[in-house]
Amino acid sequence: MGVDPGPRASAGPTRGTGDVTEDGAIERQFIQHFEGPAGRAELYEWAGADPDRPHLEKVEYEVIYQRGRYYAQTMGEAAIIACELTGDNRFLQPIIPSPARTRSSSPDPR
Amino acid sequence: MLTKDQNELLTRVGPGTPMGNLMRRYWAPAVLSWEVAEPDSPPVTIKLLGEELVVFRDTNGKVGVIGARCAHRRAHMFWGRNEEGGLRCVYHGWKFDVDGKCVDMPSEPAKSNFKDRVRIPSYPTHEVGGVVWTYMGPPDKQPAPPLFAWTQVAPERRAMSKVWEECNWLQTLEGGIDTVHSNFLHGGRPPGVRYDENDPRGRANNVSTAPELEVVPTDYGYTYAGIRDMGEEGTNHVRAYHWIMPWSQIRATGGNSGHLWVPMDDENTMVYNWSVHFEEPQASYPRRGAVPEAYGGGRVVDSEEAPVWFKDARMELAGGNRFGQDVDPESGFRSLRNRDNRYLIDRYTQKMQTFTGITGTNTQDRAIQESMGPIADRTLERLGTTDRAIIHARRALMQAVKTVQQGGDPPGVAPTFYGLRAYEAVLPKDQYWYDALHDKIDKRPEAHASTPA
Repeated sequence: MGVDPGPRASAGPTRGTGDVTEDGAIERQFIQHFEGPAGRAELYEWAGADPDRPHLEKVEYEVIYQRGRYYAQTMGEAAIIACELTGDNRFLQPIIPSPARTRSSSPDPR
Repeated sequence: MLTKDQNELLTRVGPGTPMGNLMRRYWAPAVLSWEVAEPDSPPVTIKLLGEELVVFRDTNGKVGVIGARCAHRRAHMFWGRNEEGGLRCVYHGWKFDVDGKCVDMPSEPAKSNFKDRVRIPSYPTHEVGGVVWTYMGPPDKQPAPPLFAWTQVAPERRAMSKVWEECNWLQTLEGGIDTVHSNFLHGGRPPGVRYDENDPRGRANNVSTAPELEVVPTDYGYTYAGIRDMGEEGTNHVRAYHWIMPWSQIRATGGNSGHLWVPMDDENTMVYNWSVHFEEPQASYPRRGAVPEAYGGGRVVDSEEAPVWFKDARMELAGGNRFGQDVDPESGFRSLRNRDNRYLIDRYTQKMQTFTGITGTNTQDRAIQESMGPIADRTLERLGTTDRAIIHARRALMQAVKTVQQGGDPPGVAPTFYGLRAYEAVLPKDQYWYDALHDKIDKRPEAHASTPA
């Protein structure tokens, strides 16, 4: 896996687009897409074995937006990058309170 | 972060849902054994995986888990009379045995064989470790009994409790496997200051608020460790855990302890809490009275003075789970400090002493997990490095759902979890925790030759 170039890097290193590299060492998993006035971005997780500790994995996150690739150490940071790039405003939506809850689901035999 | 569909998939557990089908492949805790202590004792009503059920112990001591509604006109069987080998509905006298068969129908003519054609749903049971477990899945897929290592410990070295948590099961699971929150939610003010300097875990918590979290996938779920740099000591404190799919955790304390986060329905969870000492207590271990924190805390009482809930676990569980003090067994095991009274938060204590101002570790968990809503909206999360175990668990659950949909067996149904224990240790920084602790956390006879899945 590559070295994280920082969350706002303009474009990261090019990588394969398949789900698994040829040697099976690195897997790419689609997390979800983001969409806003400035277009659409896709968020992926890259996970591969840590060469020093074979039972463990090393992870980083990739945002693909237009022709650029952006990298972050956390899913949360990558999601924010994707929102900023696309104008997806999901994190800015007002919180709508849940309807008042009843306790009807309690184990009450009535 | 999940999509809306993924969040729905993982949180809906009723009959016929993908996650409900997965969960029905495992033995689920139904009640604590003492709740149905004696033959012909009063029945207990429960909600499990969205189903209303009644649990009772028949005249022969066999425990039945049956549908809560009488087959006749849907009266609730909780009001029934438990007598002579069955539970009799008090409306018209229909009586059902532990297998759900109608064995008496006194409201119909004596010559009628109507009763032979009537039954209500029933599920098989297995009683071990002070718990009545039930299996609600396809009969031909019934897994091996739930013989977790902690269920094999003598009652005098085992504490058990349960508490109703008023939110979806997944946020209770995710709270439990999130080792980092203990620095904050359960800490002092500022975070960490209340931890005991004489205890390695306390020192580690005081020094390190952003531990590394490492997950090792296994054939039952995963084992994982919170690794805290101990600063000037030049070592790491490693606390290793197991997550056994779908709802069970084993963690290192003075002995071992853990939880089972079992859905009652989509918005309510019954949390089973246990704590054990695997080895014979040392001479200094109290036979009665307070148990030192190093042994897991709580209290031991003599059997003669023991209240009913000590019948199958004679060590009392503290941490916000003490019956009568923290949890009301007469009110569906609801927490006495609950959202209706704001968990009795004390803002002065919060300002001066603890991070939350709420008494009881697990009460703090309930307060914060319930605050996330009946079902947390995971489309709006911003997950960090310490959420790795949570990300793994979600992914493993989604994969297991798929496996079941394709006709396969999910992780954790084979008895590969029987010998598992948790352990914590202070290790040199250059020592890989999984290698160092493997013999201690994995007591399975075949385990040491195996590799993680």
